[in-house]
Amino acid sequence: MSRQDPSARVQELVEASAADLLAYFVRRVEVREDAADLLSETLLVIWRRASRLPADKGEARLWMFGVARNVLSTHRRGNRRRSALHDRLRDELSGVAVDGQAEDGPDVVAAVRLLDPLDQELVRLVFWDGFTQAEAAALLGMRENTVRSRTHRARQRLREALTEPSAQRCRRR
Amino acid sequence: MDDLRLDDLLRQAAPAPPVGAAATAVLLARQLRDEQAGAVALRGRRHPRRITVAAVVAALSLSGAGTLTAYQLGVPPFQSLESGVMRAMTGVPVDYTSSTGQDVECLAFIEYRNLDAHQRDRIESAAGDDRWNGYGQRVLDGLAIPTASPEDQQLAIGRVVGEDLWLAARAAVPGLVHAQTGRTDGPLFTGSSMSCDIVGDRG
Repeated sequence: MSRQDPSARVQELVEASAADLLAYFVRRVEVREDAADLLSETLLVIWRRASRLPADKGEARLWMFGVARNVLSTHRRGNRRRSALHDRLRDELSGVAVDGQAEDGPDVVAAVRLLDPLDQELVRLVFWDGFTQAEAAALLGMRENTVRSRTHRARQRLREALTEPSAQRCRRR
Repeated sequence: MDDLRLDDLLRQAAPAPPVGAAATAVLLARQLRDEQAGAVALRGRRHPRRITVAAVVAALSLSGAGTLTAYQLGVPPFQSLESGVMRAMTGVPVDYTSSTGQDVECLAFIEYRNLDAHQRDRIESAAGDDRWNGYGQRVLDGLAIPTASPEDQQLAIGRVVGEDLWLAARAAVPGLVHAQTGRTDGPLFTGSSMSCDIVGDRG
């Protein structure tokens, strides 16, 4: 783990993950504009601790998402950093919902929300944020085998939910 | 529906920020990097020892909590843990303003062994409870040591936090036993760890 001051390498790693971190929050907050607050807090922590960013790219990405997860857990309203860019980001996030669901397809997001909270998080990490199951296990502090079995069961439940006729009707409304 | 179709549906359904927001996120990263670099340089000129002191004091507070963790300033889950010991992902915020006007932000984490998924969830819920809002300052005020140095204040806060996290964990998980009892089986509270940053100075 490098203990040097933030370098061009760190800058490159952080900037490469900034959009993914924003997406991470967008997928987990009720009020989408709050993702701007959470991203700001996360970036501040990352820059403050940049000298501890792991040298390996994959580990560095996991480390940054570990920060994001922690910020999400401890976020408190009313103690937010504000800047013009921050406000601009909030405005941009206040637009219409963005997801890849087909209008005439099943409501996948709604089906995911029916899962147990931990299984929801596993699905988000693996299918939406692009982590491997081993990486998801590291982020959640769980055993990889547990993550694999839970993910398997979550997919089974999702398959059942998404093949029910009500799933199709729900999406079309 | 086969596995491939299901996986495709799941991946395609990922909510994502608008394209413009992603670009703004990168700009925000640069702005905050520049601002943070400036703040660190300013703190370094005015108070060159403070970050080091915060790390040392936090480490000392751990020994008071009986943890077996090798302490590093950092963010879980990347701090070292003894084999079998797990650390809660949710940190208890311990924020306060010291006697000399330093704004200190800490996160304290419960550490445990042999908990099942349900018990771990209860620990996470306990750590994320709203009652911790303002907790750090309440602890400092309750200690009534306004003339103590920031280092001594942080030591004292660390001891109280270690005790409070044990009580909170015990309340969340009935039957939880402190590892200091010598027990090695069943649900065990093994200690706590705390990571602190000095984020401002009003002094």
